[in-house]
Amino acid sequence: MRIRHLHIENFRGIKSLDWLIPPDKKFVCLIGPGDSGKSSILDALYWTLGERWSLSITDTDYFGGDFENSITIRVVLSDLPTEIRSHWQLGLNLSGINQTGEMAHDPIDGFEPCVVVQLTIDKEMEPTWSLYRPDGTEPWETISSGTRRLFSIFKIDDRVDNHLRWTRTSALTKLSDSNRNMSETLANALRAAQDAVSEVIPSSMNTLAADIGTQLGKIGSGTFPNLKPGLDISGSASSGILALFDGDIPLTNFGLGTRRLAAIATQEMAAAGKSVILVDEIEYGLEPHRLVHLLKHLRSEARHEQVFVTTHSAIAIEQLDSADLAVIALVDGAMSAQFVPHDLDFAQATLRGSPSAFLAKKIIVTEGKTEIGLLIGLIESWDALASENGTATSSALGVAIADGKGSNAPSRAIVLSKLGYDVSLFVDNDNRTMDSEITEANSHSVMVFRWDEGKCTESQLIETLDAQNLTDLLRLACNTRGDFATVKSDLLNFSLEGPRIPDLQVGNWLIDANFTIHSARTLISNAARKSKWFKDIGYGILLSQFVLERYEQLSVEPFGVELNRLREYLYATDTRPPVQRNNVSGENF
Amino acid sequence: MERELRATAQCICNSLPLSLEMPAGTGKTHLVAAIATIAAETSKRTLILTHTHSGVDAIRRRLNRFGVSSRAVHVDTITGWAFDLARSYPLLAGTPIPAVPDWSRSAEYIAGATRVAGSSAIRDMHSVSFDYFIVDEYQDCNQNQHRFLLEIARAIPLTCVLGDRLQGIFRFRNEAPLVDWDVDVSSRFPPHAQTFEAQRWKGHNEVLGEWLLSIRPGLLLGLPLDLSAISIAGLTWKTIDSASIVGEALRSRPPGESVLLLGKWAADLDDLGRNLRGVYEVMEELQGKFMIEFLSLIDNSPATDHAFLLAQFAKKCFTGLAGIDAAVLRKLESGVTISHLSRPGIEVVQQVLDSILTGSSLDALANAMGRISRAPNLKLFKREAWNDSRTAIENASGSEDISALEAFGRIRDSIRHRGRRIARRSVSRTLLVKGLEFDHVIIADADRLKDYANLYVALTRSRKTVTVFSRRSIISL
Repeated sequence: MRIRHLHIENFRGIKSLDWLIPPDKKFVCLIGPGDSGKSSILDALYWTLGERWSLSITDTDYFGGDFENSITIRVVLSDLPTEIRSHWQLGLNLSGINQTGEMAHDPIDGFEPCVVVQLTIDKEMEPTWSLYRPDGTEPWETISSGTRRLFSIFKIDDRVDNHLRWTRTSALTKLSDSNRNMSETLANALRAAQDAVSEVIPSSMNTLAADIGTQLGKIGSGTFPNLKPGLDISGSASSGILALFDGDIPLTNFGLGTRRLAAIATQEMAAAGKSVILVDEIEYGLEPHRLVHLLKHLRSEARHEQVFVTTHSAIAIEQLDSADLAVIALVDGAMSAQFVPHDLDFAQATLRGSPSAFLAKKIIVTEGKTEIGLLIGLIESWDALASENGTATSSALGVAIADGKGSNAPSRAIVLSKLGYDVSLFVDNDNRTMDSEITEANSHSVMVFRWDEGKCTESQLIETLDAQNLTDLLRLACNTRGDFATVKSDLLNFSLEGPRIPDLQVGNWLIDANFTIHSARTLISNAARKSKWFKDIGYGILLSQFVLERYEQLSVEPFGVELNRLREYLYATDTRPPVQRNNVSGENF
Repeated sequence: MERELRATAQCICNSLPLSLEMPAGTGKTHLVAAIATIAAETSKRTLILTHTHSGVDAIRRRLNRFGVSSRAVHVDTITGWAFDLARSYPLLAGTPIPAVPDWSRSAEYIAGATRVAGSSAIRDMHSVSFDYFIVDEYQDCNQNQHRFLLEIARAIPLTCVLGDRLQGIFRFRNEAPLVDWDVDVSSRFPPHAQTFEAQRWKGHNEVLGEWLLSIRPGLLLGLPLDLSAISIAGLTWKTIDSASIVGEALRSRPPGESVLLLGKWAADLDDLGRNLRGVYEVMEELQGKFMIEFLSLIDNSPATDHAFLLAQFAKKCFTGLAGIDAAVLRKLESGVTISHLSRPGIEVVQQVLDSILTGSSLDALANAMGRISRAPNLKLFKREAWNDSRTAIENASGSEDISALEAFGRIRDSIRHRGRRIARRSVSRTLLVKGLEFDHVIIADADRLKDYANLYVALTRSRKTVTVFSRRSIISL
């Protein structure tokens, strides 16, 4: 059985969602910023397809808390199991869906049979499960909990302990049901346990119980002549009292990760046919190696016909194909869910290169490692200021930095922008071959931050520095290059007329070595770039310290102006600025 | 289940697909249920279709007796199944179908359902739902139904069709011709050879049963039946005369034994019912034309006409209402009260009619009908018609959305699913009692039956005695 379409109205943070799931999606990983409603999607599927006949519904399950607008969730299922397709179940309620997701009232030619399960929750918080027919007329036929059980849908969330006990809906109970006389066995076991417990209860406990009985009598709560300790086999406890043990330790005492894995294992065993499994925050409670293993298992296990997981983990995303990812975005209640399209170039490369970018709201695609380091350092300092001022930090705003790998940066930015992310490019301006792609990125709503024409980060910075600052920069280069000798040899490599480089004091160069401030800047700039003084994230961070120490002074220069523009964009709380500036098509061309 | 029956059923299961022609009373229903039971024992599921609601009931009862779970067998009428398919899949059927069936349009449902059953998705649905397919009373299928059933049989190849060409009495006007057993049935479903015993008469009147089996070949050839020369215990021939028909009907019978009085036309039944003063109940056709006439008048007339319409309707359902004569009806029609007129014995009815004279709600109308039922000195002989009409009016009064006619349609439709109640003493027609059994059968006018098939069906309804009234002792149709 496959989920092919999900339609949601007024459920939690989702005012509306229409999500078509192509027929080949067996493993679906929902990603998107933290509060985008991924878990609500899993809950919507589970509420609608699960076998529960009552739901604990609260005001907050209605969009905007307004229970006047009833909740509607519709799920289209294809590749139906035999029993579902039969007259005994939904054989007279089949609709049709074609390869492109179009629906028809009947499974006509060119359409495969499907059913549309609808859950509505009215303003009285009363859930109704029914079978919707596209272009059909109400009333819809209702669908029983017994039939929904055949959908075999499981959800693993933070309430897994239920599945490790013999409770009404747990996988263990399902497994037991397939074994004849199990309920009788359980009843007998409970009775035997009851007897055994009453035999081993120490007399002191019995005495205590009797004393309590007496006391209750004294304070006027009636007479309790036979009060004694025992196993509670009444009500809800009667099923939950039996639990899985490992040796002497109940599994419910183990760590969350183990418990979730055990729950998945029992449910895999319990699913009679093929199942659909929903795992919320798959990385939860698992070390990286167990997470990687679990993902591999879920993607290959034939018993699952479809798997939906949510994740915030870059490690998880790294294990997947870009086609597995569905990006969830939520704007004013309007939710969109988009698969990373097959025809998008570089999707897989972006996934491998910067998996964490997929988890952010706002992504800055940078040209290289220098820029990443520079941004990391700057953002750290900007965040500290934001914290002091009580405004949102970059992590609160969901900002991520992605390595664009040089000239690939614009195409990667386009990939991400098409998926609904707020994307910006932070790139040098010394490579003309990137211009056309940058223009294209800009037309895909990618915000572009770029140095002046012909400039890279190093040259844009260096052209504003005076002799003292140039000296400080050379000192920094000595750190990254190891010693002065290396820096000196770097400089000599690019010194056309072979002037003397007496020492680190650029002031001395101007006096003793025929340098002008301009030629000094050009030499340092060339050496810095060609000898990769700062081409490393760590070095970029060091460079950011250098910049921050001179920030006020730099902020009137083009270098600082562009950084401030970037800063403004990063810390803006609304999403995309309406007007975009573009250094490529604007002033520079 | 007896060993012999099990062996027969098992042999049939192993030889499918096949057709099997069985005379009346030789345990066809039993065999159908036995096949489904044997299937259920190995977790196989069976679809059983037949023509009539009484046939559906009979098979369900037998299945219950064999203890078969309703999860293993689905029993329905052919048109009922067709309606469900066409209703569920209007695009495949090529025609929109209303939520409540209009059985006068069942030919459309069959045509639509044939297209539905032929689609790949629904062929799949049939094939994953059922392992065996049984059609009973196949002789009653017209060519359109035949095509529909062949589509299903294509999806469920293990098909068994049963019937008896001598019981083919379903012939409505403007309908496709019935199947020809040799041309249509035997060619598609290989005939299965089987010996028969007269089952229905065991422990009742076995001699009668043997005789009924023995006359079948002659009737099949269209030879007249001479009743004067036959001396069979329980078989009586009498010259027709209405007094003796009534006398025969009212003759005392052992307690608990059922009696069926068969007439030919609906009007005959009403006359017989009236003459029998409510001792017998008149069975209504499922569509209920008689009630529909009354209820559509109620729906479409001003409330001030209710008293007049009800008086007319009551006269057709009760004996003892001679006092509601032309004079009374004229007054009611013009809205004049009638309680002051002297009509001894039916004062209650007069009061009831006056009480709704100035226009009443449907609720008051239903209430008035209830009071008339309980009034002294009246005998209700069209009980089914009266009670269902009353319930329909009551249901319509409780809801703003439906008319009395629609409410009636739902009541009759629910009979389709629940099965109908058969009175111990019923007046009916051969068409309505196919598949039913009674201890005693009285055929009121045998020489006017349409054909030998009707005669054969009429004779074979009885387990113990048959009394045949006709003009001549040689019945030639």
